[in-house]
Amino acid sequence: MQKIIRWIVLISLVVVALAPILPQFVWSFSHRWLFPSLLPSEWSLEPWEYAFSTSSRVGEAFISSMAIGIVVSLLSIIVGLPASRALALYDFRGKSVIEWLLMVPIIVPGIVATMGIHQVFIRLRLTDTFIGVCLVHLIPCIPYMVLVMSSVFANYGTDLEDTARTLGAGPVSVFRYVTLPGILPGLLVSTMFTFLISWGQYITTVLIGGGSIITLPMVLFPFIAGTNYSNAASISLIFVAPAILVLIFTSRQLGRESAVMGGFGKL
Amino acid sequence: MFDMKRMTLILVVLMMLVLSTTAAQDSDELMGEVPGYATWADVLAAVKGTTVNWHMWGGSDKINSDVDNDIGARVQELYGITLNRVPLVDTADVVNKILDESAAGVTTGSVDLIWINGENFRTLKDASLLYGPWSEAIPNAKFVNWADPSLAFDFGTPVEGYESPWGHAQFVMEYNTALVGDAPPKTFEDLTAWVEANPGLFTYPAIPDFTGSVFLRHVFYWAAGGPEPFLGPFDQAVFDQYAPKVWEYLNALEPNLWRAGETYPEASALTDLLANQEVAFNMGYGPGNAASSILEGKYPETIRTFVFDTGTISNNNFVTIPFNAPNPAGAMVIANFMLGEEFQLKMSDPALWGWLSPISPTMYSSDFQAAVAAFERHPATLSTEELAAGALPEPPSAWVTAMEQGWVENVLQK
Repeated sequence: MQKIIRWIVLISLVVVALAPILPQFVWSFSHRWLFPSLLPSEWSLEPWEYAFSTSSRVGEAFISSMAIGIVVSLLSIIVGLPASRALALYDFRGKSVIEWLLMVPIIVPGIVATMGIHQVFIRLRLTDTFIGVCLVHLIPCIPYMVLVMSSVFANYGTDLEDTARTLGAGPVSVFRYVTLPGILPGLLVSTMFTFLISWGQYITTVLIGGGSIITLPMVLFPFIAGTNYSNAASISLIFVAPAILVLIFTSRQLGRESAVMGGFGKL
Repeated sequence: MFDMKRMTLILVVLMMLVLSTTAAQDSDELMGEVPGYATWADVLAAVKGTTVNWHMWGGSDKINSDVDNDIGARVQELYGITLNRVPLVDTADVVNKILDESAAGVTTGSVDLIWINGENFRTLKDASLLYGPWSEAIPNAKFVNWADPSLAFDFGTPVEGYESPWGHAQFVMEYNTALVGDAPPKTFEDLTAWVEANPGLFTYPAIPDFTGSVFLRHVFYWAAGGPEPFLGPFDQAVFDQYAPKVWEYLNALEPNLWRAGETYPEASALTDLLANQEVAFNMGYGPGNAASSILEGKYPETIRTFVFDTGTISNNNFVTIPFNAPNPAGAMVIANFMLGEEFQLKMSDPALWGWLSPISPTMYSSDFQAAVAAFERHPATLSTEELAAGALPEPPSAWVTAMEQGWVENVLQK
């Protein structure tokens, strides 16, 4: 019975995520698609030819988005893992204040924070640099990492770690053989979410990267704003490809390890 | 002590230098002073192997490719400049970046060239955040008629050598002949009559949208019988004299607008509404937009354009260089190239760019004029003569702001 429910959840997740992409797929091959036609009256490969041309800059943007996403995910783990563990497992003065502060980047519009950070980054000579863009992406990424991981840690007891320690394991061994296997599914999921948050950043990249760093949203969003739907469709399909891969991967984790969803349930 | 041989050698080298610079200046020379460079040859010598970061609106795949092919590839061949085109959703993004950099005291930024006009130019110029003056001094500035108010002023802000024109724009109305027929309403009285007879098929973009705002300016010009009252500094008494007639006109129109005037669309949405035949009219600054949209498949074949009998507002696309541009020489060379005969011909060609040129064709060679005369015009594009005959100037930005606020208070909220 539980297996059937799991499959229903899995299938509906895939349908809900993929159905909106279908019209994008049709748009990306359309030359003329006007109301009230159900399908384009003229088809064309031009949107795809443009997406793969050097003029569109999609190729180089894909590579830099990927590189930034990977660096940001790694930095989020380094910062977010100890923080989420502390928030989930320990009680200390000012805990609720810190929890609230961690939520602030989600509540405050990114542009407001970024304008101030831009000034600071200019003085630190971090603007127009790769690492500057990675650091500014960390701001919206860390709350998600901490949120997901602290609910993973909340379900995770420290008893096994204590047992390992009484048996003589050092801190490295405890982390490697006990903690990491325990949180790995949750960690993978939250890392991929972090990656996607970085992947979708626009205004932070524009302000801090200043045109020296070109990411996928920077080549995609002008087409959406300019109602150039065919070109927007072909590039946005390239843009959502990693998200779909993440969804499939997460669904597989969900199918195998219900513990992950246990964590989400607490959100 | 006195080395005759050496002295002669130095003299000969000096002579050759003088000769070579004068030879170079014969074809291309600076027509005035630019900050940091004595001669155009110095500018050209400084740009070889450099990169120019050009920040520009990036919402058209056609303009993106055209800029890369017809400007980027050519300046690479001619001058060894690599053009790094940075696509923007909104030019205000890069203006904010320059303002932030200035506040933090950054003397070498990362932006070399910006496609700009109007409010964004005024913001940067008023804050003294532009390199220059330079645009009247570059060699091809000799083609520009700086006495023309539409080139000497950008929305009332004096250009004064701080930006260089590259394309001309004029407001046109687009209409669907399948819904309107072949005789569109070319006066505001006829427009009212048409809208009353065909409710729901006309609207204009919500102000302060760029396009909605220019439509509103046309109503003001109509109410005052011409643009003249609005061309000087802002005057509240003059504004109050004509504004009531404008609000009365627009409020009378409202019940018969699209969705009974309960809401006004964004400019991009209005384009979609025309494309999908939900409304019969669209409007905008691109006289060639209807033709290129038909060719790109965004519009049905039945779209045509017209201008009001009393004329329509025209302005220019400029490029400007920020005060902290790392490569102002490269930026000037590109701006200069864009005023040259080669690029202006491609830009005027309806089969390539399909823009209007800010330069009178008579300034260029007879070959250029013959080529322009031979262009085949798309039926949706009006002739250059017909457009130029009715070209009206933009008012200074202070008027624009007052009109926009007035519309929100007296039309939107009524």
